[in-house]
Amino acid sequence: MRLFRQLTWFFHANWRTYAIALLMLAGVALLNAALPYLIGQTIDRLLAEGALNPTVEYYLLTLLGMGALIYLLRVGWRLILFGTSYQLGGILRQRFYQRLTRLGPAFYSQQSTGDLMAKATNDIDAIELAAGEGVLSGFDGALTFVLVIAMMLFAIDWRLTVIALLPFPIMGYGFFRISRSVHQHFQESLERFSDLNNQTQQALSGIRLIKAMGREHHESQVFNKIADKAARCNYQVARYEALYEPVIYLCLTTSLLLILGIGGWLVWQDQLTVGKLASFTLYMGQLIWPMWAFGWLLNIIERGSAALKRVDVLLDTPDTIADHGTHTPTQPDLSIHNLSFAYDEKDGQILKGVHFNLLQGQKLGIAGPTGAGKTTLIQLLMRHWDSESGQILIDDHPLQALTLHHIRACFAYVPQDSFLFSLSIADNIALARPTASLEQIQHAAKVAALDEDIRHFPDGYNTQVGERGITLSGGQRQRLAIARALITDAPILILDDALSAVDVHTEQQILQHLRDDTQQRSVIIISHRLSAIEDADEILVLNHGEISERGNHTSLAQQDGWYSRMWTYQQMEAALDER
Amino acid sequence: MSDNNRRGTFKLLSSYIYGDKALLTKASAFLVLATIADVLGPYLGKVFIDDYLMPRQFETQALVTLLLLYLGSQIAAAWLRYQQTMHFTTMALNAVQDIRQRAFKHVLKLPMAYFDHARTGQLVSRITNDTEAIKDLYVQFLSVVMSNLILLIGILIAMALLDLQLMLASALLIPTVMGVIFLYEKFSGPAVQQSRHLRSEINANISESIAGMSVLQASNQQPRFIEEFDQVNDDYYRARMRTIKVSALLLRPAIDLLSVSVLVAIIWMFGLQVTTGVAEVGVLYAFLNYLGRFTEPLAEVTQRFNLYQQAMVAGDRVHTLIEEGEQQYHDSPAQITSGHITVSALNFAYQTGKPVLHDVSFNLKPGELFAVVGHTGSGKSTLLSVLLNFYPTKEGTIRLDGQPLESFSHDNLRRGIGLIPQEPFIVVGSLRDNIDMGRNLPEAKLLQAAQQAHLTDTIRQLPDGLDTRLGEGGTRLSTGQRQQLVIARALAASPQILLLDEATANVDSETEQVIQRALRELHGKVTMIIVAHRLSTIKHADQILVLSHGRIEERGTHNELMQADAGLYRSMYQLQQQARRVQMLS
Repeated sequence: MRLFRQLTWFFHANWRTYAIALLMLAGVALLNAALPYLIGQTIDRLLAEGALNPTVEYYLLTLLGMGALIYLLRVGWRLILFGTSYQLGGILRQRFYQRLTRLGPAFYSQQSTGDLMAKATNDIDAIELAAGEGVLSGFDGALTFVLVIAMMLFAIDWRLTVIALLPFPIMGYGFFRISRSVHQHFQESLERFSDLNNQTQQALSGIRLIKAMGREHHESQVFNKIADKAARCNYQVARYEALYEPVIYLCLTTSLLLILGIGGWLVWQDQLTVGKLASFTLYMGQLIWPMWAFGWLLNIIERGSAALKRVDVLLDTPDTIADHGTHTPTQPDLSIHNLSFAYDEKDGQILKGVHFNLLQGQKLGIAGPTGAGKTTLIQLLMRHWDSESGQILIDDHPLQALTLHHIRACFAYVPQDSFLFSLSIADNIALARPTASLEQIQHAAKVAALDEDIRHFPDGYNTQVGERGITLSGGQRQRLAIARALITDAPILILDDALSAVDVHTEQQILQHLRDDTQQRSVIIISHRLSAIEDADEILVLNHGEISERGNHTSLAQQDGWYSRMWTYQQMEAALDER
Repeated sequence: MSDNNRRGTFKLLSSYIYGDKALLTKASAFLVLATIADVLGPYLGKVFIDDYLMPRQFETQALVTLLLLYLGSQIAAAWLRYQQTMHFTTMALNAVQDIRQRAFKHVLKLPMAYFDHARTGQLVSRITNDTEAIKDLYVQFLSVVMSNLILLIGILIAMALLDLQLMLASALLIPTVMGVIFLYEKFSGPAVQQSRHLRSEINANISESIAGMSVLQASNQQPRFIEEFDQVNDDYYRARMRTIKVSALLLRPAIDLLSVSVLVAIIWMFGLQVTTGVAEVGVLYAFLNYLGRFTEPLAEVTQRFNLYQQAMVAGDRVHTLIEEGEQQYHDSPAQITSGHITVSALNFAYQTGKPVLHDVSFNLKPGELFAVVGHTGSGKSTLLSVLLNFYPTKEGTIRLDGQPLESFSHDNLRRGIGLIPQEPFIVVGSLRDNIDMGRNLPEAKLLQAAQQAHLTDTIRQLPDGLDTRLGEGGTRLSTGQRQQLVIARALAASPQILLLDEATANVDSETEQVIQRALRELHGKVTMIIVAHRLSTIKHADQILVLSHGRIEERGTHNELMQADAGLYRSMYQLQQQARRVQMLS
């Protein structure tokens, strides 16, 4: 019942709708309970009078009317109850999504997308089910049970009732046991199914090795074993599910037998009419549902509360970055003092004592071996993480004093592998500025040397990308990301190894465009290829989180350091490529 | 989907139903017997009421017989139903297991070219999800639909035996319910489809947003995306409300209303019979009983038909996959015994018009160490793939021990050629499993291979020796040890030819030494072709082939190639030395 307590806010907000739906359910249960009794009365009347007569016809019409009324009430509660539970699902999904937008890389680096998706879909469905069908089966089951028993006891015959009900506790217990076993084996069969998936996935991604080693047969055998286990698990589920019917059947049969026996004897003694005997049999049939509902209820509540727990944990995750700043920067001057950072104490420091200044309109180049902390530095600048030591100032304000919105608006960031949304090319470019005109979009694409490519796409700028559209090459994706960054008015442009997949010629073309284009924009370029940062005002070489060399190209090339060695290497490589 | 394929799918799926005739006969027999026993119950109740209760006749013996018959029939019905369900389930599960295993086995035998274009995720889904959909079809269709249809027929027969008129009135329910379901399908079809579509839209939206969250946040677009998400979420809610409206109006409540109407009709007709004096109240009792079980099967059967459609689509996809042509091997008894390799005038292209290898020829004597170097995209890896017979060659010939490559059987070819891939791949299992890799090699061979790969010391240090578990949750080996393991694995089958695909990424010096040592010791015993990235590893090679854009640019030994002043090999070698100098400072 903890589940319902946790959802109190929702039930509370919707108590009127729930009350109406439950009233309707109660109406249905009452009418349903009255039906067999009325049928019995009709039969007795018929037998007593020996012919169709107005009273009987009146009864029959009443029965029809009740049927119609039940129909209307049933339609009504379904619409209300299920509608409300769908609303709950909608609200949860909405909150879930909003929460996701407020969490940063610190959160996403620890979560798998598959897991988050499972929460957004399966778990929310399970909660919805508990709030809809859970309420239904709980309330309706209990009510039907009480009403039917009451009718049997008071309207027909209490002795018969007591005797006929003897097998029912056994049925309830049986249902409970079966539903537990089904649930358990069902979980297991889900696991086996995912084994099946894993084995297939693994085999297909390693198909080269499998073929080279001639392991086809062996892999098939491994798969067969897993498939066999999966089938056996499914068999267990089916076996327990198949048990429901015999249990119902045997219990009901025993009851009917007792009813016919004892009831017959009562009829014999003229203590019971045949019509009542018939009604009683009909009531017995109505008792199956509540028995079943209780087992079902336990099941969905169990599933729903587990799901709610998982979803709640996520909904309660605090914002990754506390956004308490108030200032708005006016001048995009960046200054970094003695910055150090570690993701985790155990993993050691990623950045150590980094410091530099970047005034408006300047160009900074950052180079260094992989894993030196270059991308981490950029993420700190954009406040995706908070650093514990050192300071990052924009316009002389520490980042914490600025609103998150304004910090992000300062930067146009181009990552190495940018993400494209399933939108048109134009919408992807205009992502950060949805109101941009086509001219502005085209201009950005031209600067990024992408315009030419786009014109060759089937629908030009309206071409869809992503799953339902075309796939762009790595170089095209990078150039699109550059165009996407250029279309914003952000005063600081950051290229984070964003030219790695384009050839040297295109790289130089884009860099030249940028030089011609920048409206007093500052630029930070991280590049593995040193030709991209050759003309920077200052170049930093980051090595294991520390600045090991700094200066402009001419001064760095003269020392025998990492930069000059790398420069020579890349010159040799270029010469080799020319051949 | 073409009609032809549809027919093929249907044949595939139905073949499993007739496949195990004995099982089918048994299951059907259980089904019919269960239905008879089932229907007998209310009938016996009728006999009791009309023949004994109403006329107040108390014949102990007859009543006891009746009682026993009743009990017997009902217990039998319960048991038979259970048996029937389980037999049909067994049939269904067997069928699906077989389809699954067939599909998997088949996929592994498809030619390598198939995998160049196929998406792994989609293929996995064919083998698992689609076959799962087929499973639902079998289980549902065989046990639910069949048994409900038979039950319906059984009830109708029993009703007809009791009273034809009343039976006809009840039978009216069948077309009516079907009409209602038809209406339901008609109205709900579009609504259900739309809500499914919106559902996948929501999923796609969430997963895309998660993947692109950093971009979203960096460009301050959260409010806009939240708004768009809310829009889809609302649409989804509305679409679902439409479906619930249709199903509330036309499904359960409507069918219950219909059965109340029929009940009233039956009592009324019974009333007419009472008036004319031919009525038996027991008949009414039996009918009331039967009616309770009548509407359920109807609703079940009609509702399952859309499941059938989904499964047919899945079946089509699986069928198409199974029909895909496998790679063919000869089954000549020829074996690779000495490891002599001759490649002459080899041309190769994945796609016509885009040649990858041009006129490649070389001759390797048994035991030689042969190195192939070149840039990315020069065709080195393709050469390996072709030597492994992953792709058929149209121009030029490859001969092993004088026999054309294509003439070797699958097993003999794989036994004769060992491959050491770029990534040392560890399977979850014991160290023994990892060397043996399911080939069931004798223990002596495993140990010998381990020794050749210098793995013996490592094995001795491991807690359970050869039986130490590796992979997920097991002991972790160092990169060097993993490399040794992979070498042992390749050597265990005593191949005559060893192909080595050197890792491109930075390799620590431990691993490099492992490879060096193995190469030195195997030199002269096994013919080796090594696709090398680090030129330092192949200084001792008997021949080095320098590939550029698929053509042989230079060939010779290390010393010969270093003599050429503007040689490609020499430049590459100098470049790597410079890379080493850079490395020293990082």
